[in-house]
Amino acid sequence: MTDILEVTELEVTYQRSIRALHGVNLRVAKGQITALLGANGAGKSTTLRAISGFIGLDNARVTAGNVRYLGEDITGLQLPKTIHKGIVLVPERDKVFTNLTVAENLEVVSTTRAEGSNWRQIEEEIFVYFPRLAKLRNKPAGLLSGGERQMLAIGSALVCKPNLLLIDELSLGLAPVIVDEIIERLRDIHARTDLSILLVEQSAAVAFALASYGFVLENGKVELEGATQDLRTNQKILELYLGTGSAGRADYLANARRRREERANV
Amino acid sequence: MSNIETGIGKMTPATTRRKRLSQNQVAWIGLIVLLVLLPTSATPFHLDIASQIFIAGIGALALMVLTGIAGQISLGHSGLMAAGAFTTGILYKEAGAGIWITLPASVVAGAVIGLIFGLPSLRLRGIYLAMSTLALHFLVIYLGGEYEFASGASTGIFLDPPVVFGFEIYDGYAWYYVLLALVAGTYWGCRNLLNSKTGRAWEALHANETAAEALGVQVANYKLLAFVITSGIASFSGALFAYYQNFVSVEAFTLFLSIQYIAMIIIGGMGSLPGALLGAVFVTLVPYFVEWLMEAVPYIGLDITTVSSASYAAFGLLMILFLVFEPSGLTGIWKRLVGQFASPSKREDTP
Amino acid sequence: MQILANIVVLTSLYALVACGYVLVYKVSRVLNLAHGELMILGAYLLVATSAGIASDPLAAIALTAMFSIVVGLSVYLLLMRKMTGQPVLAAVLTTVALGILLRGAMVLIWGPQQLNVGAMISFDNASIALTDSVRVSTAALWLVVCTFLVYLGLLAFLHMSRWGMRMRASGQNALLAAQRGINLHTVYALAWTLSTFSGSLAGVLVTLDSRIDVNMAVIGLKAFPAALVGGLDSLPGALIGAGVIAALEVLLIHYVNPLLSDVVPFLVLIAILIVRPWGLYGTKEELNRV
Repeated sequence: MTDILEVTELEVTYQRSIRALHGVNLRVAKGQITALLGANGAGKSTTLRAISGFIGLDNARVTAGNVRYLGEDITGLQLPKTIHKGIVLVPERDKVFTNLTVAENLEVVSTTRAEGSNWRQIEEEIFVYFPRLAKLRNKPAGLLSGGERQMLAIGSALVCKPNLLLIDELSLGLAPVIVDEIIERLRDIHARTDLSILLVEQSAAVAFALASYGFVLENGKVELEGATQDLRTNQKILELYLGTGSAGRADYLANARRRREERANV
Repeated sequence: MSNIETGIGKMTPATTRRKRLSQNQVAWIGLIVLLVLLPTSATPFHLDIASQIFIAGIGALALMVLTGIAGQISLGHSGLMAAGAFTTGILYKEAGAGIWITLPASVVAGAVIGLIFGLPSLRLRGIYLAMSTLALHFLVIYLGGEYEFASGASTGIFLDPPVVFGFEIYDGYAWYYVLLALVAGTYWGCRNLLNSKTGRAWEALHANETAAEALGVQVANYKLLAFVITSGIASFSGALFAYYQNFVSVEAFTLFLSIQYIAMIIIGGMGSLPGALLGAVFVTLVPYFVEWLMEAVPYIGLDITTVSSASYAAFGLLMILFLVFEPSGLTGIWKRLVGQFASPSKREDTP
Repeated sequence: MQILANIVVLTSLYALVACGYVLVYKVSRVLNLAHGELMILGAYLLVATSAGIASDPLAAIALTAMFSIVVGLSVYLLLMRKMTGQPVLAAVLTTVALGILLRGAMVLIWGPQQLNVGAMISFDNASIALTDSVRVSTAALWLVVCTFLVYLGLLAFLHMSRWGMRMRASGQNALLAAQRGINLHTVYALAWTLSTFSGSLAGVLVTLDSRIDVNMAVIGLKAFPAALVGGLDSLPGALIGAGVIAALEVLLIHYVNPLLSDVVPFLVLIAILIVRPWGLYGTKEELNRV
């Protein structure tokens, strides 16, 4: 299996002095969903930002290591060049333009890959993935719920026609029911396209529900990696990311299935 | 001192520091001696320029403390100077008051207006604060204009030379020494203020207001204090300006004057008191330099408008050049030069 | 009735100038304090074109409009582009410096005396009788019409065209805009160009109605409170703000004291800053960002 993304010994420094990453190594296999787990402040967001490109305002720099994308060295490549290569990020916070409507949020996207294509068609495509958004198309994004915002954010990222989608905190702050729905939608999208996804999560359960391979980041370094079925039974993961004492939560899928059934019964 | 020295290299850090410290002191003493002796070989024209620089220096120090140290932007500096000039002018004209009344009254008037200028700063930051000070500038100028209009002195108020202990400050030499002493005193006062608790509080709220608040700095009080103190000083310099010119008129206190003071602190180097003085020297000299340049170049219509508009353009250009290419101003250039001179090996450290 | 007509004309002037502030601020959070000077530069460009190139009034105005676009674009590309990523205050001070530079340069080039631009391009500024008792000049009528068209055009552009949406998006969240492939430099350049264009248009029309000298740049400063009343990032707000300022100014001059005309906008500004700094339509969160 070939890798679409290969990050080796990546170091990032903020404001010339604050080192946020200390040599991160990770790979994303082509067409697969890969998870990057870690607690708050472990450096997950920085890793994603470094891959998707900083802008001058960030005052951040890759100081060592490199990022290879489709075999090409793209270390330190800034926005918007990374977008044009097909690397698109769904940021953790401020992920939609709140003053624009749902439809406008999809239309503002500007990439050479998407430019010139039929806009109605692209919108309809996104609405197929997220039917909920179709009803909200003329609503300002600022009035959407957290889950709807996440869907819109993923949707507008998809308009950029990514090869590699980076998602920063898929489930953070969202109600479990909504998380289930988004997980389902993402699976659906992944099944229909050859999209590769790098998913940053704090919840191991969500990560395991989607990803086939996972990395665990701690203090700016990858501490653990493996196929998700192996990670799932790893004692350390169970303790750190699923909460000790409630081993039942480990089987997130079972929970999710139960909730879906409950909803269906209502 | 010497017992702390650790023999790291051939030349220990402590010796260089001691050496440079004394160099620094020598430089200061030399500068003062030079300034005291300067009038012996100066023409009245030179004395006039020097006096203008001193007055500008006092105002620039005030703005530097407010903007460069406490981080509160003000576009109303010229309005504050007008407040001082008009307080002095009105008290003199209406009551024949001497400087022991007019100058303190000007400082108080400035401080009160400064308090009013500062009130919006409790709610507003950045651009909004700048605009509120700009608005207050226009308000002060309007009131001054109203007074001129109402009192029939539509051309301005004339002032007699100030009398200090029976001695009339009239000629260039007297003014030179008085203003030199005042600017030195202001510098010394500001220096002490910055090294005090107040100065540290200002620096803290400049760096990060929220953090300063969390650390227990009374942000509102210190902000207002910054406005009150610096406005008092600015107003004082306005009063001096009025006495020096023997004349008060709103015409002198344009928005451009405020911009000149901002130019001084930008060109001098934000956050540095000596920078304020450097900036005052630089900005005061620009029009003369422009005039000299235009005389040197064969030019036909050399009139006052041409020179003044050329100075405007030169100011704009200089400010842009400093803002874009040298945001740390003359002080920054100076430090880099000294740094390169003192330790050429460290040059690669500078980015 | 004549007073009402005067208010409408002055509202149009302030609104046309104020929308320039709004465009640049909305998109890049920079307050352009050189807007007044850029506006007058537009009028002087008309002087230059009419003297050198085009003698027909309409051709001269059209050429001036094109030049003003070039000016706006160069201001961004040569100067303000370098200030992106710098503290907003440094950018604002740069515009102050630009204003001073332009002011000096304009006097050096065109002289300090008042010029009658209307006569230069043989523009017939006849007074038109709207009713028996209400008369406005041709240029003033043009001003009202142009302001209306500019606002209509801008609102349509911002809400219906993709680049207009991108401008709104970048103003709301520049980082996300970059992450969605929007080229911020293009967006900012567009904002500066549109802003300078509308400002120059205002400059041209106001000087056709009177004469031109560099001190008219103060109109730029007086229109700023209008933009602020509306909240600085709202076009309809600026229109309303312009109405408020213009009405107060006309009424106070007429009934109280002509000297007040220069200070009224700033009194309104102070009142707004104290009572409702984010303006009538602006977003409250804006304040924390500055």
